[in-house]
Amino acid sequence: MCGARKFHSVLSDEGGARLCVVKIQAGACWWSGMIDYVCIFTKGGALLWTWQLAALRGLPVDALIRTCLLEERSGESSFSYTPPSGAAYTLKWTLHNGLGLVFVAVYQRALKLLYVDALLERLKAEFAEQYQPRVLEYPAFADSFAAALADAEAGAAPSKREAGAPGKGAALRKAGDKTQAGSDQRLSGKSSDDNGERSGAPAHDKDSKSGSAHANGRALGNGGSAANGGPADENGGSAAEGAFDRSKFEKLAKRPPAGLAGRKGGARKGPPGKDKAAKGEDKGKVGKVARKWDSSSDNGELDCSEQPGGASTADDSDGCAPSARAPTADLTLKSRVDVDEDDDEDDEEEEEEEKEAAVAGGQAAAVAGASKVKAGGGLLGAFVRSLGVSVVGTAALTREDIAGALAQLKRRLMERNVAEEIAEKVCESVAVNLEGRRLAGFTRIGTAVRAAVEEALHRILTPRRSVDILREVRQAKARGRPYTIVFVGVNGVGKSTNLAKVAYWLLQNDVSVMIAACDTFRSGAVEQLKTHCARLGVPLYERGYEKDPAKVAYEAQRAAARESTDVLLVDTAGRMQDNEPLMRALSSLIALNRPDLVLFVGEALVGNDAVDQLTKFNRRLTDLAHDQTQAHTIDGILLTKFDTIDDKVGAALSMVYSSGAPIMFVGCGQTYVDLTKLNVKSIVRSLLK
Amino acid sequence: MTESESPFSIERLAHSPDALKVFIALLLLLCLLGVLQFWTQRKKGDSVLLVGACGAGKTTLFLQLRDGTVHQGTVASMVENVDAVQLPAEKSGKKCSVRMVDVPGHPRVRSRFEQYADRACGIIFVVDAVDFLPHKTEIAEQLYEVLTNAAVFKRRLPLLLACNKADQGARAHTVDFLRRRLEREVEALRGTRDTLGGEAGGQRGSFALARPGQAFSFDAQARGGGPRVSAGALSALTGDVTSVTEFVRACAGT
Ligand SMILES: Nc1nc2c(ncn2[C@@H]2O[C@H](COP(=O)(O)OP(=O)(O)OP(=O)(O)O)[C@@H](O)[C@H]2O)c(=O)[nH]1
Ligand SMILES: [Mg+2]
Repeated sequence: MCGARKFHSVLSDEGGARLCVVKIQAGACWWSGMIDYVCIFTKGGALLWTWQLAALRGLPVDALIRTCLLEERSGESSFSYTPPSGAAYTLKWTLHNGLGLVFVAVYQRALKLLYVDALLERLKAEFAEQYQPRVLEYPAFADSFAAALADAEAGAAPSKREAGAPGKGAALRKAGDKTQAGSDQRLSGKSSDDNGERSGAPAHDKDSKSGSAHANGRALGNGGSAANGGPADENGGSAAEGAFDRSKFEKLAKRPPAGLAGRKGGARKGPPGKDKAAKGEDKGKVGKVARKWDSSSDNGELDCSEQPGGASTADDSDGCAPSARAPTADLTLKSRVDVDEDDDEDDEEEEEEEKEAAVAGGQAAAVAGASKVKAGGGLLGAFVRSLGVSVVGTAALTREDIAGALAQLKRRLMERNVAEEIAEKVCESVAVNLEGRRLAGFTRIGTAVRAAVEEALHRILTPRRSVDILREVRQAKARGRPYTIVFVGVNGVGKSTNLAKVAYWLLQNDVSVMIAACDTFRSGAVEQLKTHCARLGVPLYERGYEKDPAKVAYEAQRAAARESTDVLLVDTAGRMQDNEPLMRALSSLIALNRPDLVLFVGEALVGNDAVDQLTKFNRRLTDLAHDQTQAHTIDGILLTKFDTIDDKVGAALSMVYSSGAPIMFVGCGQTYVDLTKLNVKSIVRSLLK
Repeated sequence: MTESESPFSIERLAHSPDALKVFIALLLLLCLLGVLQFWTQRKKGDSVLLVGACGAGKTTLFLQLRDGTVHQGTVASMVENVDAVQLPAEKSGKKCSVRMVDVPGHPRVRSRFEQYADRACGIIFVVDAVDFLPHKTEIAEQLYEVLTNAAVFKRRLPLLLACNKADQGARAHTVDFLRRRLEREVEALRGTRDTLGGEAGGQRGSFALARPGQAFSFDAQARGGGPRVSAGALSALTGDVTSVTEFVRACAGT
């Protein structure tokens, strides 16, 4: 390899946006070596091949795996990693699910490299041919890589100027245009049906298939992406033989380098895919309409109704006046948090659902299969696919195969009140993880997709951090200070009520509790807490309404320490996520008092707003903190009104996915005992039911 | 009997009752053998599981045991590595082959360990002896989950506390230290875990790791009918893994 790498960035103003255009000055060749590191490894974690230009700072690849690929975010187009020292990296990756391989490229984030996706796709295609399951060393691959990299960079050189273009979409279009141009030159007759929709249009016979693949390869090479004529030539001939080869070229051409892959994935695959995507969208809309909630009627039920058992709670939003009776709560009743709830309901319905999904999958496959009868799968393969059943030896799954079943599952998730954005991301991630996989004999595609989604949901909902509050309380006690929990959330979600339930649960576990009334904003808030405290026999720390909540909490903490109370529960005013002054107040409360746990209280009724609430709360808490690296964001979630939503449990998924925080408690009724842990299995079941 | 002649033979069988009896007896015997095999297999197990936190060195150890080299190193695992591993012949000349399962340590996937527990005959709990203290509670939690897993606890599977990265010299904590610290952490967990219920503590609470009122220790729980825990130092990276190979031999042998 040649030349030291030398570059300088020029800041220019173009269309109002500040853009960074990178010029490369290298010696004789166009090699710029802008990629710092490329590696290929198995999903099991064994490195197979690495290439590095500069020593990596930190562990970007591990970070990618842990915080992105394993968190159902593999549908995203790139990952940003900030090492302990130095400038940030961008990581791009592609998965080969059939062989269980991952291809990753790392480069400086300041560089906007457009050829990386295409390069990775080419590496994937070429490496797949060499790969043998038990062999872990591929020194010979270095040559293929060097060629691929040189081609990619040579191809990228002329279009360097576009590198700074803001939308990756623009660049993508450019690559597309060039593809067309290239094909026009070489295959003027055939290019018309090939390039309009790119890659998905059915090829009419073997020749034209391999021919167009060839054309694509070349054109991309010329047009600013990686694939070059040389190797593509050889491969083009075998394109019709197997799934890899076919999908290799389809992907070379169609996988867009940016987030577009996610959203428009279906649409850019030619007519059949497009139809399906459109259908999916329609259905999505139907789901949306059906999901409108009449939350007022639900609120009505949560009024401060007195239960015969004496253990009753008042609803936050109603601001119950202190009742004279206020009987004390019966602490002998076990909080439902401590009761094991067995959930051995049978999965009878699942069968039916599966069939339904399978039918959908079958339809999708039928469409996909039909479009490919001649293209390589063969008649028999097409027929088998049309049944939605995978037989040993059939080709690897393609996007089209799973699109139908996936769209259906996405629709179902949205019907269950999962925020649209989240459903989209989860399904995209599942698709990325399924594409190219070979199913075991006689598995229905619908079943496989469903199982993959189920597994993904399970993974998302399983808490990353342990949710053992009692242990943390003990540790704090050993250190001689009260464990402080701050309850935050928007208005009327039931903060105070559920705070009381948590207090009840703590009392049952022999933990002493104090409550601090830091809602100095809404009238009636303090009185409401007084009622609860009287019932629970718990001291309340309050300073009326005029005080700064941060100060009240501070004083309460001192008081709790003085009286050696184990836990201090801090109630705060409900606030909308966009209310700047109130968010600032919350941020300073948290900064001043350093609570052990910030618990976000959210309604299980919310749909799309769940994402907005949580991300904004988290963002505001980070932005407004004095020291942003030390910012204390939301640690856990308390989901309220869970009993009012039947199977529309989507908020649980939306909240966990968008914040990364686990659901620590679920409020599911109107008495003190109605607080449980999240049952991941039953949530997943309801989501897919 | 080959496929092609089976229709004839069945016809013949139907005509001669003696042959039919023999045939049925044979069938029954086969079934019995199958069930027996399944049963013993299930009871004994044939797999050794590698579990532990992220970055502890499980995959490194897996490669080291299987191939005798770590090739080009590892990154965080996303899925399990499952393969038959041949341990080199001992002085006695006995070769030993086991099914080795390397379960990723990432919290989102580590529970997949449960799927393999039924077939396990031993568990290697890999601990990073260098980077231990910052993660001690998390590690103890995972150990607790492994120890109280029904399949592990009921069958009293042997568990090796594999203190990895011994090549780091003084930076690595000693086996004794790790053992004692983990004992203490598990003890702290014991009280709170059982009250949690729901998913987190869940069905595990039913196995008491020590008698009430008694402090937890690995020895005490082994005496009380729980898993048998031993400990040993190793370095997966440099291939100094005798403590592990001995453990695996013992698991597969008994
Ligand atoms: N010094 C030293 N480093 C080791 C040793 N064993 C493993 N490592 C390093 O520890 C890091 C993590 O090792 P892995 O084997 O990938 O860890 P793992 O337990 O499989 O991690 P997950 O797959 O994320 O659960 C790697 O960088 C190894 O090189 C050892 O014995 N000594
Ligand atoms: Mg690993």
